[in-house]
Amino acid sequence: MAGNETDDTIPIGDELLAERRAGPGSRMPDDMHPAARSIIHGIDTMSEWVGRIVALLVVPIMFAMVYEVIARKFFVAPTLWAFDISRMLYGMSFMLGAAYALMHGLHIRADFLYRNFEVKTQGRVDLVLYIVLFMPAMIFLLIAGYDFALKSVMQGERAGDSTWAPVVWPVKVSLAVGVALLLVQGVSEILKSWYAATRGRWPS
Amino acid sequence: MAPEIIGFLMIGAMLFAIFIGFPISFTLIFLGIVFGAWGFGMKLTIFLMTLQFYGSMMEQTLAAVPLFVFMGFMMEQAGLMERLFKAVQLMLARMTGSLFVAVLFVSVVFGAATGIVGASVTILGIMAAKTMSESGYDVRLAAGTITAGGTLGILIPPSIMLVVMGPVLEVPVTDLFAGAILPGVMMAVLYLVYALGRCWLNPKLGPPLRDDQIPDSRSHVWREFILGLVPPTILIAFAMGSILFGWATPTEGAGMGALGSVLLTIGYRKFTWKRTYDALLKTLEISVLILFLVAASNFFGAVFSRLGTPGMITDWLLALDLSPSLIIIMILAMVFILGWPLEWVPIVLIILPILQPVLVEMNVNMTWFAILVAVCLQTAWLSPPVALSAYFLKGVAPDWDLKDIYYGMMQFMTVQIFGLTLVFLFPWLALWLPGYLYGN
Amino acid sequence: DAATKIQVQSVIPNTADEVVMLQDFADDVKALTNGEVEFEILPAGAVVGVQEILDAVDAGLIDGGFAWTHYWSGKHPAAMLFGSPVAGAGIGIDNIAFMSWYLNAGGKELYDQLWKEMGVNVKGFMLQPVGPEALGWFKEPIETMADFRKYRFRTPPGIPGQTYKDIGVASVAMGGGDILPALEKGTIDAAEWCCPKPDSVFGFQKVLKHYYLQGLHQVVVNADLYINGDVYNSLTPLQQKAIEVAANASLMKAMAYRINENGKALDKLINEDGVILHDTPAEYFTEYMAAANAALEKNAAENAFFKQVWDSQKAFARTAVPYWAQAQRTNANLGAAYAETLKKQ
Ligand code: NA
Ligand code: NA
Repeated sequence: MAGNETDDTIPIGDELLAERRAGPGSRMPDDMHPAARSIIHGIDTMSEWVGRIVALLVVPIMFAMVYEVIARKFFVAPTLWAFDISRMLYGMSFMLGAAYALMHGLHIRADFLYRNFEVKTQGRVDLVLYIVLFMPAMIFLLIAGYDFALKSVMQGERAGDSTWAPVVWPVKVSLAVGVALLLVQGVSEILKSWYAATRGRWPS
Repeated sequence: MAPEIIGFLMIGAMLFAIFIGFPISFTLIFLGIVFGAWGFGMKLTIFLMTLQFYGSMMEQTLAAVPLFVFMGFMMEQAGLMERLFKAVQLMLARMTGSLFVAVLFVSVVFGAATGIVGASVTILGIMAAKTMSESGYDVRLAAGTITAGGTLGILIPPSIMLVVMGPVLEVPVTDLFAGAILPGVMMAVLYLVYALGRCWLNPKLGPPLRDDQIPDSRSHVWREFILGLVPPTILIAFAMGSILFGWATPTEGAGMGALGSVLLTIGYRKFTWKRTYDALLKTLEISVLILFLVAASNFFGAVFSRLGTPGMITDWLLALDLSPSLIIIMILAMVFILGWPLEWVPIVLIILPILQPVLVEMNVNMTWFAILVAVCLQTAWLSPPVALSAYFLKGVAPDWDLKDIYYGMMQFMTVQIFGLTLVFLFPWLALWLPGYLYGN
Repeated sequence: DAATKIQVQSVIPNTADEVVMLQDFADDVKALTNGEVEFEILPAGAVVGVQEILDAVDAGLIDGGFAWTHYWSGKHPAAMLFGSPVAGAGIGIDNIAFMSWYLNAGGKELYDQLWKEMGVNVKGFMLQPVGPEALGWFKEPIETMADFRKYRFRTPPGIPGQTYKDIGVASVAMGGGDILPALEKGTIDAAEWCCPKPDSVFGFQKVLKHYYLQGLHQVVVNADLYINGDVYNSLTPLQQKAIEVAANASLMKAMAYRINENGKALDKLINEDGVILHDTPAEYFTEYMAAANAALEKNAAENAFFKQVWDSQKAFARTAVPYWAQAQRTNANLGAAYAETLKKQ
C-alpha cells in the first residue's frame, strides 16, 4: 500500500482510537433482547464510571513527582513517599482501568485477518473466545488474586523494597478488583458478540 | 512430555493464536495458563500469574509511561507538536523525507531522556503520525522510522536494559552507558540514511511540499519555524533537561514534563478543564493498552522460562566446540531469534548469566559483548508478532494497518543487523568512549 | 534411585559472590547425601521477581528461595531482627556475636518460629553472615553529621533507611537501577549498596571516590535459604540432617570467603581505582544508635513476637556484648598494628 493514498490519512485527535467503541451512552439496538440490553447497559455504565474516576490518578502521580524533584533539588528535603505513591497509583490505575479499556475495544488485536471477516464470523470468533479463553482465564486469575489480596490484608503486608515501606494491600486488592471488573465486563462483551454472531452487525 | 518441549509448543501455539485476532493480552494470558498448567500444574501457573501482574504493577520506572503519554496528549491537544513537525517540514520544504529527520531527531532526544520504549513510540506516534499521513508519506517507512526510533531509548543511556545487564555480566553500568552512546547515535544515523536513501530513490515515499505550499517569504518560514520550535523545546528542556541535568530520575522527569505541558497549554491560552480531562481519559486508555500488555507478556515469558526452554537452547549452544567469534555470532543469532517471541527481560536474566563464565574464560571483552547484545536485543522490539512497539504504535495510529507496521519494522530490523555487524567488526565503536572516560 | 532435585531461585544474578557460596553449600549437601539431594540454583527473575520469592516458595511454585531475610520485613516486622537487625539490634551485636545468639542462645528456635508467625509454609536455613556492610559512597568527604545532612543519600529499604530520615539525613528512596545514573548526574550525592566486592562490581568507584566502611544500617546481614515445607518434609531425616550440617558449615565458610574477597576488592579500590577510605564521624554512631533504638522500641510495642525476639537478643547481649567488645578491641588493635606496618613499607 503506497503512503500517498488518501485513505491513509489519520484523523488523530478525538478519533484517536479508531477501533474504539462508544461507551454506555450509545443506545443498544431495539431488536436486542431487553434483558441483554439492560445487562449491557448496567455493566458498561459501571466500567465507564470506574474508568472516569481512575483516569484522575495521573494527577496525584504528577504532583508527587514534581514535589519530590523540587523538595530534593532546592531544599535537600527529599520525601520517602513519592517513590511508593507513584508506583502504587500507577499500578492501580492500569489494572482498575482494564475493564474500561475492554469495553471501549482498546486492547490491541493482531487483526489483519479478523478485520476482513464477516461481522457474523467476527461475532462467532469473539463469542467462542470470550467463553472458552477469556472467562476461564479471568476466573482463575480472580481466584488466585483473591487469595493473594486476602493474605496481604491479613498480614498487613508492607513493601519490602522501599524505605517508606507502606502497606501494599491496596495494590493487591486493586489487582483482584480489576480482574473482577474484567470478568463482569466479559459478560457484556459476550452478549454483544452473541448479538453480532446472530444479527450480523455490532450493537454499537 | 518434557517441559522444555512444551515451551516450543507454546511458542508455536502463540504464533498461530495471536493471528486469530482476539486481544493479544488475553490470548497470551490464556496460552500461559494452558501451557503452564500442562508443564508444571494449574495451581502454580495461576499463582505465577498473580505474582507477575503484581510485579508489573509495582515497577516504579513504568510509572513514567502514563506521565509521558499525558504530556503527549496535552501537547497534541494544543496543536503544538503538529506545529513543530510542520515547522521542520516547512524549513526543509524542498527536501524529500524531511519528517524522517524530525522524527529521528526527536527520537534521539527522547532516547537520551528516558529508557522506556513504550513512551517513546507512543509519543512519537501521537506527534508525528498525523503529519506524516497528511503529507502523503509512505506508511511502512513512517511506521518503521517511528518504531525503530522509539527503540533507541533502550540503547541510548539511561537505559533500563543496560542497568539490568551490568550486574549480570559483571560490568559497571557506567561503562555500559558510555559504551552505548556511539552505537546509539550510529543507529540513529543508519536509520536516517536508510529512510532518506529510500526517499532519494523514490521521492513518493516522503514527498517534499508542493510549490504552492511553500510560502514565498523567507521571513515567514523563519517565523513559523521559531514559533513551532520554541514551545516544544521549552517543554523538552523542562522534562528532559530535568533528567539530563540530574534534577530528576526518568519517572520524575516525566512528571515534570506532564506538569510542563499543562503550564504550556495555559500559557498558550489553550487550557480548558474539559480538554484536560479528555487528555486524562485518553492517557488512561493508552496506558492500559501498554501496561496491561506488558504484564501479560511478562507472565507469558515467565511461563516460558519456567518450562526451561531457554536454558535448554543455551546448553545446546555450549555443547558445540567453537571459536570465540563463532560462539558470539551463535549467541547473537540466538538472542535475535529469542527476541522474536520474547521481550528482553527473560533473555537478559536467564540466558546471559549462563553464558557469562564461558565468555570470560575465552577472554571476550564483556563491555563490548554487552553492547552487542543490547543492539541485538533492540530487534526484540521490532520483531513481530511479540513486538510491543507495533502495538503501541497501532494504538495511537489506528488507521495504520498492522501489517504495514510489521513490514516497516522488518525493514529496520535489516538496518539493525547491519549496525550490529559494524559493532562486531569494529569493537572500538563500543569501547572507545568508556576507555576515554574511565581509563583502560 | 533418582536424586531429589530442589530448585532454588536467588535474588541476584548467578555470577554474584553469594551464589558462588550457595553453590558451595549445594555441593556439600550433594556429597553428604551421596548425590541424593541436589540443589539447582536459578538466577533472579528466572521464575518470579525478587519481591515474590517467599510467596512463591510458600505456594510451592519454586522448591526453594535464597535472599536476605529482612527482605520479608513487610510480611513480618521481626524478619528485620534476623536478616539485618538495625544498628546491631541497637544493643551492640556484630555479625559474629549474632551467630553466637543464633546458634547458642535461643536464636534458632525463634528463627523457626518466625515462619509460623508469618504464616508461610517454609523451612529456613541461615547460610551467609556477610556483615558489616559499608556506610557508603560520598561525593565529598563528611567530617561531621552536619556535613552528612547536606547530602542526598540513597538509603536501604525499611527501618534502616527510615532511621536516616529520623536523624535528619536527606534520605532518598530509589530503585536499584536508578542509583548509578542518579549519582552520575548528581540527582543524589551519596549512596550505599553493600561491601567492597559487590560495590566495586556495581561500579561506584567510577563516579564517587570517598568511601566509608564503618556504618550501622546493616552491620549484621544474613543471607538465607528457604525450602518449601512440603518439599523439606518429604526428605529423609538423614537428608534433612545433611542440609543442616552443610548450612552450619556454610556460616563459617561464608565469613571466610567474604573477608578474603572483600579484602582483595578494597585493595584494588584504594590502590588502583583511586578511592579514598575515610573514618565515619564518631557522632554518627551515637545518633544513629539512638534513633534505631527508638524505632526498635516502637516495633516492640506494636508486635508481641518482635518483642520476644528482641528481648531474647537483649538478654544475650547483656553478658555477651561487654565480653565480645573487649575481645574485639584486641582484634581491632592487632589488625591496626599490622596495617600500620604495611603503611611504613
Ligand atoms: Na535511554
Ligand atoms: Na519480538
